[in-house]
Amino acid sequence: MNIKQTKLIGVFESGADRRKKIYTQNLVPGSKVYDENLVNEQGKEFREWIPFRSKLGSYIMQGVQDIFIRPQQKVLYLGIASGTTASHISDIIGKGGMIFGIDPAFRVMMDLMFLCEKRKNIAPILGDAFHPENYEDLMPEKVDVVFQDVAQRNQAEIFLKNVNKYLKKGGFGMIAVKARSVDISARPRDIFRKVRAQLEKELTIVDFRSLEPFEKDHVMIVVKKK
Amino acid sequence: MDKQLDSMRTICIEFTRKKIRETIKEDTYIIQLISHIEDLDKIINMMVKRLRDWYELYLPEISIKVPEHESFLMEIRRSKKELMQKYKIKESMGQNFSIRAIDNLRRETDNLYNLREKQLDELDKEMEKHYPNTTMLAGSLIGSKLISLAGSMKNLIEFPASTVQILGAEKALFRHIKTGARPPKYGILLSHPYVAKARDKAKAARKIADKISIAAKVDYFKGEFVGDKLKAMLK
Repeated sequence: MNIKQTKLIGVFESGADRRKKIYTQNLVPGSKVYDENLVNEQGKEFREWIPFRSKLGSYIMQGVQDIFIRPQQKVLYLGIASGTTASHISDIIGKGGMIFGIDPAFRVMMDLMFLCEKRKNIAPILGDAFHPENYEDLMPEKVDVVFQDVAQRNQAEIFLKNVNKYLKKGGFGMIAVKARSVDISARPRDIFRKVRAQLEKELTIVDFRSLEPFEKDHVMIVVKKK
Repeated sequence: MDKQLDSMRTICIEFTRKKIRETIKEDTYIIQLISHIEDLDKIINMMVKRLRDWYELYLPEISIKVPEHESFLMEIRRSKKELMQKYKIKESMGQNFSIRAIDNLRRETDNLYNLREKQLDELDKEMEKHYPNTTMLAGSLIGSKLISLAGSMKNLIEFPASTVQILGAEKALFRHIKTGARPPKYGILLSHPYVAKARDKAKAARKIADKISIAAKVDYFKGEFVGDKLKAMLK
């Protein structure tokens, strides 16, 4: 295997086309987060990023030019769950950065707490992302990136609330929209158009991309705060 | 700057640890208990099926004559001779082989029945202690299943009664929303005796869901006991 750096900072790849795999450099060598493979090469350890389990991973597999997350940055992650995607973000931002992960479910938060013991750049917050004022004491005033993956009916509203409160000027926000949890009877395309229009009112759309074939009826929308 | 972030993280962890502990309450305990009982039902069913299948090679006539699982378990404690006399079987189709392995299975299945009984008692106690009104109306089994389907008691009281009515019929509900098929009339409440016995099941389900919804709200906000009054209204 031959792992090489991609255009994206902190993301590595091997193979091409159908056999393409992506990796991040393991921040905590020797430890797995989910059932991913660890690959040792050039004296470094890489963790495979499985796109079927991570929406950010499937976004990268679409051949994007930028993932908007850089080393040393502060990231607000809404719907962090047990930290599958967050662990890769944690690899990318490295030791100087910090992920603030919000999730309302205590069960997955327990798993995340154990992950936090190993990874010193994740801060877990048990709370409801619909009420961003509830965790303002625990957060810095502004963050560099807001990432959202919550699969809620009003997910665009939740996203806007948090972006308005916490995202710095010129910062990027990423939202993974799941059509089937917004409205199961409407056509996915109509839902995406509606969400896009809702976001466009206040923010600049940078990228709009379907996550097929890894996730069905999902799109990733990247926005920039004006 | 780095140090500031680090101390923020420490505060987050402290806060979340405390909050997780506070979030685990009696209804999380009850949800585990009812899920465990549902698991046990599945396991017991599987084991009894295997037991019957196996025992039928030995003495097939009994299995057909005793359709009820628990009495079947009681019956096959006896020896083949005794059973043949009791059920007046002159000659069996079954083969005479060692029954030791079958007997081991029987004993363990018996133990599982005992375990289920014990856990059911525990569930009754817990439900009676924390949610007396809901238990009065729905019974501890259905009451706890409703809590488990809603996710927590807090979720359950935030639902309108019409949602309580069709909890457990999510598949039919989404089919209705998606394709315009007829909506479900009841979910888990169908197993409630008041609904099961009623001729107009939809109406009965609506009425009982209404009262359970009130009772749950009273329980959640620690109101006084109104279960008997609510139950009287159903008559």
